[in-house]
Amino acid sequence: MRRNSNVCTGKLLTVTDGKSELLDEQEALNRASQQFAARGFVGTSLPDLEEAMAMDRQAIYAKFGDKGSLYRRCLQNYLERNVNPLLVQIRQTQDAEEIVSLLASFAEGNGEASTSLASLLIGALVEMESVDRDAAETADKIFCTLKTEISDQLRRLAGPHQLPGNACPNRTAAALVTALLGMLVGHRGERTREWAQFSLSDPHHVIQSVVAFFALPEKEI
Amino acid sequence: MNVLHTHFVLAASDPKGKIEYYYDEDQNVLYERFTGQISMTAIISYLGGLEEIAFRDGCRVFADFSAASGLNLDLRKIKRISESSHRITFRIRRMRVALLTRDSISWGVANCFAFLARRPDYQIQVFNDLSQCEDYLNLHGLAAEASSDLAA
Repeated sequence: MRRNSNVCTGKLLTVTDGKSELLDEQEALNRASQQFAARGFVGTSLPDLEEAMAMDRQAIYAKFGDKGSLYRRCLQNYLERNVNPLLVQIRQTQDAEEIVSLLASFAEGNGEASTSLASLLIGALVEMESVDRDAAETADKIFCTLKTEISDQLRRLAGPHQLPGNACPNRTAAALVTALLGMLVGHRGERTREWAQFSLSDPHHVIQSVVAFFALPEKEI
Repeated sequence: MNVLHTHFVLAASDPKGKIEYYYDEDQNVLYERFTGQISMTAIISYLGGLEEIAFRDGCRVFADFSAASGLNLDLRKIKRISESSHRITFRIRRMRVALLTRDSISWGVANCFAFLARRPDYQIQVFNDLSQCEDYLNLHGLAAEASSDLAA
Protein backbone atom coordinates (compact mmCIF):
# COMPACT_ATOMS: atom_id res chain seq x y z
CA MET A 1 0.00 0.00 0.00
CA ARG A 2 1.48 3.33 -1.06
CA ARG A 3 1.57 6.04 1.59
CA ASN A 4 1.27 9.75 1.17
CA SER A 5 3.67 11.91 3.19
CA ASN A 6 0.74 14.06 4.37
CA VAL A 7 0.36 13.87 8.11
CA CYS A 8 -3.05 15.09 9.09
CA THR A 9 -4.68 15.01 12.51
CA GLY A 10 -1.88 12.77 13.66
CA LYS A 11 -2.50 10.08 11.08
CA LEU A 12 -0.72 9.05 7.93
CA LEU A 13 -3.10 9.24 5.05
CA THR A 14 -3.19 6.55 2.47
CA VAL A 15 -3.71 7.53 -1.14
CA THR A 16 -5.81 4.45 -1.72
CA ASP A 17 -8.12 5.25 1.14
CA GLY A 18 -10.17 8.01 -0.46
CA LYS A 19 -12.74 8.17 2.30
CA SER A 20 -10.40 8.79 5.19
CA GLU A 21 -8.47 11.31 3.12
CA LEU A 22 -11.69 13.23 2.50
CA LEU A 23 -12.60 13.26 6.17
CA ASP A 24 -9.17 14.47 7.15
CA GLU A 25 -9.20 17.19 4.51
CA GLN A 26 -12.39 18.54 6.07
CA GLU A 27 -10.83 18.50 9.51
CA ALA A 28 -7.71 20.22 8.17
CA LEU A 29 -9.85 22.93 6.55
CA ASN A 30 -11.79 23.42 9.78
CA ARG A 31 -8.58 23.88 11.70
CA ALA A 32 -7.14 26.26 9.12
CA SER A 33 -10.41 28.23 9.18
CA GLN A 34 -10.18 28.58 12.94
CA GLN A 35 -6.65 29.95 12.65
CA PHE A 36 -7.61 32.46 9.96
CA ALA A 37 -10.69 33.47 11.94
CA ALA A 38 -8.72 34.04 15.13
CA ARG A 39 -5.63 35.73 13.67
CA GLY A 40 -6.73 37.06 10.29
CA PHE A 41 -5.02 36.22 7.02
CA VAL A 42 -1.92 38.36 7.52
CA GLY A 43 -1.59 37.39 11.18
CA THR A 44 -1.67 33.67 10.44
CA SER A 45 1.78 32.30 9.74
CA LEU A 46 2.70 29.10 8.00
CA PRO A 47 4.00 27.62 11.29
CA ASP A 48 0.58 28.43 12.84
CA LEU A 49 -1.10 26.49 10.06
CA GLU A 50 1.39 23.63 10.26
CA GLU A 51 0.72 23.21 13.95
CA ALA A 52 -3.06 23.59 13.73
CA MET A 53 -3.43 21.29 10.74
CA ALA A 54 -0.80 18.82 11.94
CA MET A 55 0.74 18.97 8.48
CA ASP A 56 4.14 20.16 7.35
CA ARG A 57 4.33 23.00 4.84
CA GLN A 58 5.16 20.71 1.92
CA ALA A 59 2.05 18.72 2.63
CA ILE A 60 -0.05 21.89 2.91
CA TYR A 61 1.28 23.21 -0.39
CA ALA A 62 0.74 19.86 -2.07
CA LYS A 63 -2.79 19.54 -0.79
CA PHE A 64 -4.13 23.10 -0.76
CA GLY A 65 -1.61 25.31 -2.57
CA ASP A 66 -0.24 28.51 -1.07
CA LYS A 67 -1.76 30.42 1.88
CA GLY A 68 -4.09 32.40 -0.38
CA SER A 69 -5.39 29.24 -2.03
CA LEU A 70 -5.90 27.61 1.35
CA TYR A 71 -7.84 30.66 2.54
CA ARG A 72 -10.09 30.55 -0.50
CA ARG A 73 -10.66 26.84 0.05
CA CYS A 74 -11.72 27.59 3.63
CA LEU A 75 -14.22 30.18 2.41
CA GLN A 76 -15.54 27.87 -0.29
CA ASN A 77 -15.88 25.15 2.29
CA TYR A 78 -17.89 27.52 4.51
CA LEU A 79 -20.14 28.39 1.60
CA GLU A 80 -20.80 24.78 0.70
CA ARG A 81 -21.20 23.34 4.16
CA ASN A 82 -22.93 26.15 6.03
CA VAL A 83 -24.40 28.83 3.80
CA ASN A 84 -25.77 26.78 0.93
CA PRO A 85 -27.87 24.51 3.15
CA LEU A 86 -29.22 27.62 4.89
CA LEU A 87 -30.15 29.17 1.53
CA VAL A 88 -32.02 26.03 0.51
CA GLN A 89 -33.98 26.15 3.75
CA ILE A 90 -34.76 29.86 3.31
CA ARG A 91 -36.21 29.19 -0.15
CA GLN A 92 -38.51 26.59 1.35
CA THR A 93 -39.99 28.83 4.04
CA GLN A 94 -43.69 29.49 3.99
CA ASP A 95 -43.86 32.67 6.06
CA ALA A 96 -41.69 35.40 7.54
CA GLU A 97 -41.89 33.79 10.94
CA GLU A 98 -40.23 30.70 9.54
CA ILE A 99 -37.31 32.74 8.18
CA VAL A 100 -36.88 34.30 11.60
CA SER A 101 -36.85 30.87 13.25
CA LEU A 102 -34.41 29.55 10.69
CA LEU A 103 -31.87 32.36 11.20
CA ALA A 104 -32.26 32.18 14.96
CA SER A 105 -31.62 28.43 14.89
CA PHE A 106 -28.58 29.00 12.68
CA ALA A 107 -27.23 31.54 15.17
CA GLU A 108 -27.76 29.44 18.26
CA GLY A 109 -27.32 25.97 16.86
CA ASN A 110 -23.80 26.04 15.51
CA GLY A 111 -21.84 27.04 18.57
CA GLU A 112 -18.16 27.84 18.53
CA ALA A 113 -17.46 26.29 15.14
CA SER A 114 -20.00 28.54 13.51
CA THR A 115 -18.60 31.54 15.37
CA SER A 116 -15.18 30.82 13.91
CA LEU A 117 -16.59 30.52 10.45
CA ALA A 118 -18.58 33.72 10.74
CA SER A 119 -15.43 35.45 11.95
CA LEU A 120 -13.61 34.05 8.94
CA LEU A 121 -16.28 35.43 6.65
CA ILE A 122 -16.25 38.91 8.16
CA GLY A 123 -12.46 38.88 8.24
CA ALA A 124 -12.34 37.91 4.59
CA LEU A 125 -14.55 40.76 3.57
CA VAL A 126 -12.75 43.45 5.50
CA GLU A 127 -9.15 42.26 5.44
CA MET A 128 -8.73 40.59 2.10
CA GLU A 129 -9.85 43.46 -0.10
CA SER A 130 -6.29 44.78 -0.27
CA VAL A 131 -4.61 41.38 0.04
CA ASP A 132 -6.50 38.92 -2.13
CA ARG A 133 -9.31 40.19 -4.32
CA ASP A 134 -10.58 36.70 -5.13
CA ALA A 135 -11.05 35.86 -1.46
CA ALA A 136 -12.75 39.22 -0.81
CA GLU A 137 -15.07 38.67 -3.75
CA THR A 138 -15.94 35.18 -2.53
CA ALA A 139 -16.85 36.59 0.88
CA ASP A 140 -18.80 39.42 -0.73
CA LYS A 141 -20.67 36.91 -2.84
CA ILE A 142 -21.64 34.92 0.24
CA PHE A 143 -23.01 38.05 1.94
CA CYS A 144 -24.85 39.25 -1.14
CA THR A 145 -26.34 35.84 -1.85
CA LEU A 146 -27.58 35.50 1.70
CA LYS A 147 -29.05 38.98 1.67
CA THR A 148 -30.63 38.55 -1.76
CA GLU A 149 -32.16 35.19 -0.92
CA ILE A 150 -33.70 36.54 2.28
CA SER A 151 -34.89 39.67 0.51
CA ASP A 152 -36.42 37.71 -2.39
CA GLN A 153 -38.14 35.36 -0.04
CA LEU A 154 -39.49 38.23 2.07
CA ARG A 155 -40.75 39.88 -1.12
CA ARG A 156 -42.52 36.69 -2.17
CA LEU A 157 -44.04 36.40 1.26
CA ALA A 158 -45.03 40.07 1.32
CA GLY A 159 -47.49 39.36 -1.48
CA PRO A 160 -49.75 37.21 0.65
CA HIS A 161 -49.36 39.83 3.45
CA GLN A 162 -47.15 37.61 5.54
CA LEU A 163 -44.52 40.29 6.07
CA PRO A 164 -45.43 42.61 8.93
CA GLY A 165 -46.53 46.16 8.22
CA ASN A 166 -44.71 48.02 5.50
CA ALA A 167 -41.33 46.39 6.08
CA CYS A 168 -38.99 46.88 3.14
CA PRO A 169 -37.62 43.45 2.09
CA ASN A 170 -34.19 44.79 1.07
CA ARG A 171 -33.53 46.75 4.23
CA THR A 172 -34.99 44.06 6.44
CA ALA A 173 -32.80 41.43 4.78
CA ALA A 174 -29.68 43.59 5.19
CA ALA A 175 -30.46 44.20 8.85
CA LEU A 176 -31.18 40.51 9.40
CA VAL A 177 -27.81 39.54 7.96
CA THR A 178 -26.00 42.11 10.14
CA ALA A 179 -27.93 40.98 13.22
CA LEU A 180 -27.13 37.36 12.39
CA LEU A 181 -23.42 38.12 12.07
CA GLY A 182 -23.53 40.19 15.25
CA MET A 183 -24.98 37.23 17.09
CA LEU A 184 -22.46 34.83 15.62
CA VAL A 185 -19.38 36.89 16.42
CA GLY A 186 -20.96 37.87 19.75
CA HIS A 187 -20.64 34.23 20.80
CA ARG A 188 -16.88 34.48 20.98
CA GLY A 189 -15.30 34.27 24.41
CA GLU A 190 -16.75 33.72 27.83
CA ARG A 191 -16.77 37.41 28.71
CA THR A 192 -19.01 38.33 25.83
CA ARG A 193 -21.29 35.48 26.68
CA GLU A 194 -21.47 36.69 30.23
CA TRP A 195 -22.16 40.31 29.35
CA ALA A 196 -24.43 39.87 26.39
CA GLN A 197 -26.68 37.18 27.74
CA PHE A 198 -29.84 39.00 26.81
CA SER A 199 -29.31 38.50 23.14
CA LEU A 200 -27.40 35.28 23.07
CA SER A 201 -29.99 33.57 25.17
CA ASP A 202 -32.70 34.39 22.68
CA PRO A 203 -31.55 34.84 19.07
CA HIS A 204 -35.16 34.34 18.00
CA HIS A 205 -36.11 37.54 19.79
CA VAL A 206 -33.21 39.44 18.22
CA ILE A 207 -34.09 38.48 14.67
CA GLN A 208 -37.80 38.96 15.22
CA SER A 209 -37.32 42.44 16.60
CA VAL A 210 -35.27 43.37 13.54
CA VAL A 211 -38.23 42.48 11.37
CA ALA A 212 -40.58 44.33 13.70
CA PHE A 213 -38.31 47.37 13.67
CA PHE A 214 -38.56 47.72 9.92
CA ALA A 215 -42.27 47.29 10.06
CA LEU A 216 -42.70 50.48 12.04
CA PRO A 217 -43.38 53.47 9.74
CA GLU A 218 -42.01 56.04 12.18
CA LYS A 219 -38.64 54.35 12.08
CA GLU A 220 -38.37 54.30 8.30
CA ILE A 221 -34.82 55.06 7.31
CA MET B 1 -27.66 65.95 39.93
CA ASN B 2 -26.66 65.17 36.34
CA VAL B 3 -23.52 67.26 36.50
CA LEU B 4 -22.01 65.49 33.52
CA HIS B 5 -24.80 66.63 31.21
CA THR B 6 -23.72 70.23 31.45
CA HIS B 7 -20.33 69.35 29.99
CA PHE B 8 -21.46 67.52 26.89
CA VAL B 9 -20.37 68.97 23.56
CA LEU B 10 -22.57 68.68 20.49
CA ALA B 11 -20.33 67.09 17.85
CA ALA B 12 -22.80 66.46 15.05
CA SER B 13 -26.45 67.22 14.60
CA ASP B 14 -29.17 67.11 11.97
CA PRO B 15 -32.96 66.94 12.18
CA LYS B 16 -32.86 63.18 12.61
CA GLY B 17 -30.11 62.67 15.16
CA LYS B 18 -27.14 63.96 17.07
CA ILE B 19 -23.81 62.92 18.57
CA GLU B 20 -22.52 64.43 21.81
CA TYR B 21 -19.44 63.75 23.85
CA TYR B 22 -17.62 64.77 26.99
CA TYR B 23 -14.03 63.90 27.82
CA ASP B 24 -13.32 63.86 31.54
CA GLU B 25 -9.62 64.58 31.44
CA ASP B 26 -9.06 63.95 35.15
CA GLN B 27 -10.65 60.51 35.05
CA ASN B 28 -9.50 59.84 31.49
CA VAL B 29 -13.02 58.79 30.51
CA LEU B 30 -14.76 59.61 27.25
CA TYR B 31 -18.57 59.69 27.37
CA GLU B 32 -20.41 59.52 24.07
CA ARG B 33 -24.13 59.81 23.37
CA PHE B 34 -25.76 58.86 20.09
CA THR B 35 -29.37 59.99 19.71
CA GLY B 36 -31.83 59.35 16.89
CA GLN B 37 -30.76 58.21 13.45
CA ILE B 38 -27.01 58.18 13.07
CA SER B 39 -25.29 57.86 9.71
CA MET B 40 -21.82 56.53 8.96
CA THR B 41 -20.77 59.98 7.72
CA ALA B 42 -21.78 61.60 11.00
CA ILE B 43 -19.86 59.03 13.05
CA ILE B 44 -16.72 59.35 10.92
CA SER B 45 -16.90 63.13 11.09
CA TYR B 46 -17.27 62.95 14.85
CA LEU B 47 -14.32 60.55 15.18
CA GLY B 48 -12.20 62.92 13.07
CA GLY B 49 -12.86 65.65 15.62
CA LEU B 50 -11.66 63.39 18.45
CA GLU B 51 -8.18 63.23 16.93
CA GLU B 52 -7.52 66.62 18.55
CA ILE B 53 -7.90 65.18 22.05
CA ALA B 54 -4.83 63.78 23.80
CA PHE B 55 -6.25 60.63 25.36
CA ARG B 56 -3.96 58.93 27.82
CA ASP B 57 -3.14 55.26 28.25
CA GLY B 58 -5.79 53.40 30.22
CA CYS B 59 -8.57 55.50 28.67
CA ARG B 60 -12.12 54.25 29.23
CA VAL B 61 -14.95 54.92 26.80
CA PHE B 62 -18.66 54.74 27.48
CA ALA B 63 -20.50 54.85 24.15
CA ASP B 64 -24.22 55.12 24.72
CA PHE B 65 -26.33 53.99 21.77
CA SER B 66 -29.40 53.41 23.90
CA ALA B 67 -31.23 56.36 22.35
CA ALA B 68 -29.99 55.69 18.82
CA SER B 69 -32.49 54.38 16.31
CA GLY B 70 -32.05 53.10 12.83
CA LEU B 71 -28.39 52.38 13.25
CA ASN B 72 -28.63 50.35 10.08
CA LEU B 73 -25.07 50.04 8.86
CA ASP B 74 -23.80 47.28 6.62
CA LEU B 75 -20.46 45.62 7.17
CA ARG B 76 -18.55 47.86 4.78
CA LYS B 77 -19.75 50.94 6.62
CA ILE B 78 -18.95 49.38 9.97
CA LYS B 79 -15.47 48.61 8.64
CA ARG B 80 -14.94 52.23 7.62
CA ILE B 81 -15.99 53.38 11.08
CA SER B 82 -13.63 50.91 12.74
CA GLU B 83 -10.79 52.21 10.55
CA SER B 84 -11.56 55.79 11.58
CA SER B 85 -11.71 54.69 15.19
CA HIS B 86 -8.37 52.93 14.86
CA ARG B 87 -6.68 56.19 13.84
CA ILE B 88 -7.47 57.51 17.32
CA THR B 89 -7.06 54.39 19.42
CA PHE B 90 -3.94 52.78 17.97
CA ARG B 91 -1.63 54.93 20.09
CA ILE B 92 -3.52 54.37 23.36
CA ARG B 93 -2.59 51.39 25.49
CA ARG B 94 -4.93 49.52 27.84
CA MET B 95 -8.06 51.02 26.38
CA ARG B 96 -11.46 49.74 27.51
CA VAL B 97 -14.69 50.46 25.68
CA ALA B 98 -18.31 49.70 26.62
CA LEU B 99 -21.03 49.98 23.99
CA LEU B 100 -24.55 50.28 25.39
CA THR B 101 -27.32 49.29 23.00
CA ARG B 102 -31.05 48.82 23.40
CA ASP B 103 -32.40 47.46 20.13
CA SER B 104 -31.38 44.43 18.14
CA ILE B 105 -30.13 46.30 15.11
CA SER B 106 -27.76 48.44 17.16
CA TRP B 107 -26.72 45.32 19.03
CA GLY B 108 -25.84 43.48 15.82
CA VAL B 109 -23.96 46.48 14.44
CA ALA B 110 -22.11 47.02 17.73
CA ASN B 111 -21.02 43.39 17.88
CA CYS B 112 -19.71 43.51 14.33
CA PHE B 113 -17.87 46.74 15.17
CA ALA B 114 -16.39 45.18 18.31
CA PHE B 115 -15.20 42.25 16.25
CA LEU B 116 -13.61 44.44 13.59
CA ALA B 117 -12.00 46.77 16.13
CA ARG B 118 -10.37 43.93 18.06
CA ARG B 119 -6.65 44.19 18.67
CA PRO B 120 -4.29 43.51 21.55
CA ASP B 121 -4.52 45.94 24.46
CA TYR B 122 -7.98 47.12 23.40
CA GLN B 123 -10.93 45.68 25.25
CA ILE B 124 -14.40 46.28 23.88
CA GLN B 125 -17.74 44.82 24.96
CA VAL B 126 -21.36 45.26 23.97
CA PHE B 127 -24.04 45.56 26.66
CA ASN B 128 -27.73 46.15 26.99
CA ASP B 129 -27.57 46.98 30.66
CA LEU B 130 -26.25 50.26 32.03
CA SER B 131 -25.10 48.82 35.34
CA GLN B 132 -23.04 46.18 33.53
CA CYS B 133 -21.38 48.98 31.57
CA GLU B 134 -20.51 50.71 34.82
CA ASP B 135 -19.10 47.54 36.31
CA TYR B 136 -17.06 46.88 33.21
CA LEU B 137 -15.63 50.41 33.15
CA ASN B 138 -15.53 50.79 36.92
CA LEU B 139 -17.48 54.05 36.69
CA HIS B 140 -19.66 53.79 39.79
CA GLY B 141 -22.76 55.70 38.74
CA LEU B 142 -21.13 58.09 36.31
CA ALA B 143 -22.29 56.22 33.23
CA ALA B 144 -25.86 56.40 34.48
CA GLU B 145 -25.44 60.10 34.98
CA ALA B 146 -24.14 60.52 31.45
CA SER B 147 -26.70 58.23 29.87
CA SER B 148 -29.14 59.44 27.26
CA ASP B 149 -31.93 58.04 29.34
CA LEU B 150 -31.37 60.79 31.86
CA ALA B 151 -30.61 63.46 29.29
CA ALA B 152 -34.05 63.16 27.74
